[in-house]
Amino acid sequence: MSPRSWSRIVLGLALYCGVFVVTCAVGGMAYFHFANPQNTCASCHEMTGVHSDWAVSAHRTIQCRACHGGALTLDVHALESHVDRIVRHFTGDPNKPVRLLEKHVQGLVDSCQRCHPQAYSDWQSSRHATTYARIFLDPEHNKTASPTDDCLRCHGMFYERDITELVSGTGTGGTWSLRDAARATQPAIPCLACHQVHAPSDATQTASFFDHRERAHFSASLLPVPAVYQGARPVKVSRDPRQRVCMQCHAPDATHQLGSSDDRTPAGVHEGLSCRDCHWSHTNSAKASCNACHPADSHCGIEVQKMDTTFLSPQSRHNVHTVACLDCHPGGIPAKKVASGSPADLP
Amino acid sequence: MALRHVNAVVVGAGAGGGVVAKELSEAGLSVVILERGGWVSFEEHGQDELINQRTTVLGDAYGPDDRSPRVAETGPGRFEVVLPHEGGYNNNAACVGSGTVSYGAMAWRYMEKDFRMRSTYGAPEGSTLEDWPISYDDLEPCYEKAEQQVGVSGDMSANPFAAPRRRPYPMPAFPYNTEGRILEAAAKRIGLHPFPIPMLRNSVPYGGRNACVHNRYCCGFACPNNAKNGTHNTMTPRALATGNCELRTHSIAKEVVVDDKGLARGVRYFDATDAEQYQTADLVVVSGGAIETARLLLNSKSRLFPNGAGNRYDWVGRNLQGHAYCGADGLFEERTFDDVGPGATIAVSDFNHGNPGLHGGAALCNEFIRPPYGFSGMRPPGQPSWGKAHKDFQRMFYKRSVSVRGPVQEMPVFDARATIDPAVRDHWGIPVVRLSGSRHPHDVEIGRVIAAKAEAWLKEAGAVATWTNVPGLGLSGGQHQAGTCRMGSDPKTSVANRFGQVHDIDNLFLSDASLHVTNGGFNPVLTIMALGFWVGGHISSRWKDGRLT
Amino acid sequence: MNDPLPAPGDGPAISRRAALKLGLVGVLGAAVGAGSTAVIARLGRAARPRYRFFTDAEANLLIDICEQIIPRDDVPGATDTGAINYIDRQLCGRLSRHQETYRRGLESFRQTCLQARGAPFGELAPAAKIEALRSLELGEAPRALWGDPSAPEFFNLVLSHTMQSFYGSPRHGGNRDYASYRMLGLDYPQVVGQNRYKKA
Repeated sequence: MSPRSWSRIVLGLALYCGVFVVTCAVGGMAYFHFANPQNTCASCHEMTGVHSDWAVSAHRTIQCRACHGGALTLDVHALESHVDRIVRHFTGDPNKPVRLLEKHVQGLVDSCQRCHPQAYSDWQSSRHATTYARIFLDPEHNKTASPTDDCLRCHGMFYERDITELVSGTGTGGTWSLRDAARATQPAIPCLACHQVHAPSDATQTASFFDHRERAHFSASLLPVPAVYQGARPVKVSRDPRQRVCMQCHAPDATHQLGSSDDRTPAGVHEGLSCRDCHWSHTNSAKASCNACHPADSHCGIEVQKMDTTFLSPQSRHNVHTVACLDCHPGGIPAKKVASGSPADLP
Repeated sequence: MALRHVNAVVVGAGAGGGVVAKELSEAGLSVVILERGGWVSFEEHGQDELINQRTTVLGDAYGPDDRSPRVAETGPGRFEVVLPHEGGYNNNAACVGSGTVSYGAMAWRYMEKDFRMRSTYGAPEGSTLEDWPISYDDLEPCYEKAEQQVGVSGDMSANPFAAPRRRPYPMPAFPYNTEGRILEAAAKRIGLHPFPIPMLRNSVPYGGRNACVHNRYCCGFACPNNAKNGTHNTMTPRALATGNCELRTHSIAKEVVVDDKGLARGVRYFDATDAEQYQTADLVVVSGGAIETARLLLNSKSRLFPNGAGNRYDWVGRNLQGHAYCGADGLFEERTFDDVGPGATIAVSDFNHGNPGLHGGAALCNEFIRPPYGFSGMRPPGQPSWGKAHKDFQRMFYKRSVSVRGPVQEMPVFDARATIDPAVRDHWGIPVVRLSGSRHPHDVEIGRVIAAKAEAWLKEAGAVATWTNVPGLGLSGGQHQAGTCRMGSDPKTSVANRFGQVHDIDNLFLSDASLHVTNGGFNPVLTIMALGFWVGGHISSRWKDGRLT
Repeated sequence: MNDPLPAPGDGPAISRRAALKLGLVGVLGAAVGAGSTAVIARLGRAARPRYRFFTDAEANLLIDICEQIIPRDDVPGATDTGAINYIDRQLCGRLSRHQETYRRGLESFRQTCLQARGAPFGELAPAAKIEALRSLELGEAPRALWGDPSAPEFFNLVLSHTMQSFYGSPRHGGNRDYASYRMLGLDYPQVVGQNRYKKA
């Protein structure tokens, strides 16, 4: 046979192979993109748990590919992580846990916003919508402390490496800086810090805490209710599961004394209340919250919002979280002066 | 390409090597540290009870990995290859800082008699018990340097048995936790002298690092708060900051090259890419921990030392010792658990010496918080370990138990030893260590007596049930491994002189617990650090005009 | 392929034939491609093993053993918290050196039950199950059936792995929903404030 016909055979074969491979790939990828995940990704051991959580979750009507991308999604990150997972399934450590990378978590903030615009804008107005720069480049704080991995328990909890790779500068010189300047404007407490997508629709399940040490979400109902003591007296702590999420960071020190460290557990007249009884979710504002329980005037006839507490002014000596009648009436509680409402309305 | 010649190469960045490297760099020597592990942090394994330095059922959080096997004697004349997470391996962490990253951080000075064990007690039959060639007074300034520069919280004023000190601790002692308070009252009632355990941990901010926040998971874990002081966050950073020191991680030392004049020329090692390198130096300091230091010397064969560097009289690798831990556990009706970590707060030193008929003794301390899996193995004799009874016991007593433990000072045994296995090699082709021998029977005898003291203390504290733990005769080593290259004045019965210099090799030094003649009735780390200052100070004093004089 | 060499200037006819062939090849390729997709889909639907290491029968026996070691009462036990998941996962990971011990041990135990108790373990009364395991622990099982591992070796291995599954972190496959920590009343995650700022 002549070289010409050989070359045509080769060309034909190559063409055939090319078309075959492309069709296979497109077909296979299309299948992986559109088929029931139980027949594809979720059929592997490492995915079954994640998938079955999703199947009973509030987000079960949203397809996997909407958040994670599918085989035909033109997203480099998604493709890269899918391929990595497949490769690892067949070659590497199949026990390596499946979890989102921080860049995916940050990206999800936009996805959340699409369906939850109100919650998103409320969160934006709160101090929880803070950034890496605001948390890690606070000169006042950095004068007294050195960067540690434990910072990541409550800020930047999705950061995947050591604190030393996030922040340069050691000691208490106040000279921390972010090694990656682009990170400065990223949320340090993104939506997934307090929510999990693959959770039942019950609010106590979607409200959850992402524990940096475990690299896992604890739904609110699974979180412990830490004991809090005032001296030797155990303080009554609300059983509201959502409060447990707050307490993971707004926490007492190891002695569990009321008001120690970052603890804000209510005591005094507000003992037993949940954070959520006064603070709105997402904004965290306590504005106008008194009206939810109180008549306008207090037991002693003063308008509750005008009383000398930190609710009125942060400079007040009386922290509204722990204020007791005796703080202002050391000589004893005066007789009831209130016209409207009754003490029974008080919590 | 040949590596740039340096003044000193230090093998190992643990408690001893970290200090020596810092001392030499500050004295102006150019230093290279070869560390077989890498930098580790809290991040990788966090507070995982199944992967940490104390519980290794799912692996060693701080190294080494399975590329570094050993051979252990599992029965008379029976030898098996063991991996780092297995008990017979006697692992010490392989990372920058070694055990000081994840230790419980007790910061003991040995007592005066601990340096004069033979002259105090005489050697029991079958033991090579000996005095140190240096005294407590010699080492006291070095203990002080370790306490000040690495950072210790403590207060010895309530301990009448403590050896004299010139300066107080740089940080106040930690307060007692609930267990400590219960035990303190009981100890005083029975005439003991309780005091807070000195800790290489910050009770207040110190050295630019934070104060301890009392995490539950501390002993066995890296600190997420940088409040635990090891050489990795004190000495090594200071050494590097001088600009004179280079740290090469993932560098596996193969041999110390000794020339025909009997001088060390440098160290052959494998770098992070497994390529063999040769780092020449004016002097070499080996700080690999008692077992690996012995292995490196034994693997360093030369014309003058055909059986290994410093091994002319067959003493390298001998007298391997650790601590024969004994103690007692007690169950209480009241709640003893307060979750204020790490939990070990109180000690007595009443039984370190002066026990009638015994050669030494041990300090007694309350134990670190027992995590749940660990507690599942803590049962009085005869108690079922599974079934409903197991669950009931866990629920009833997890928060109502106290453990008291003591590291019994061991009698050195000549045949408790590390040798080189004739056949097994590690990933890099270096012959591995073979561990053989057993403890001295007297250790068990001491253990039994001290355990009874611990039990009496718990009973006085109100325990409703108690039981003792007495050590067996199995070979000792582990994290407290010591003694394999003891210091001494007679080259025929020791490996190094009183300054840690290997006999007959003028520029080869050791700086780790391999030098310990005896290992005290205490956790050894502060003594290892003090020896680092001792050896480092000696080398610096001999370093003049760019050479060792 | 005996086609004559195309003559110069014979362009249109050749290209028509080539186009025809090309189309044929394309259709063939597409058909095979589509077929392969169906094969992939079939693979997707094929029954998959439920466990990484164990057969279903082995797993069911082991689940039953683990449940005796940590039984369910008013709080979850070994089965509820996924002991089998932990062991199965770790046998394909860190604990892979114990694979053969499990394979042989479970088979020895299966035969032991049939021989000594006349019935499979799963059909024994609750008290008899505990007794059967107790005789393993004490080494009272028929010697002929046990060599490597011995009965106590096997039992103690299962015992320690069951404890690890129940008290270790769920990240390793057991302790579902941190059940054991809640049973012990152990705050998990531990809540420890940092005491960094004056509070507002």
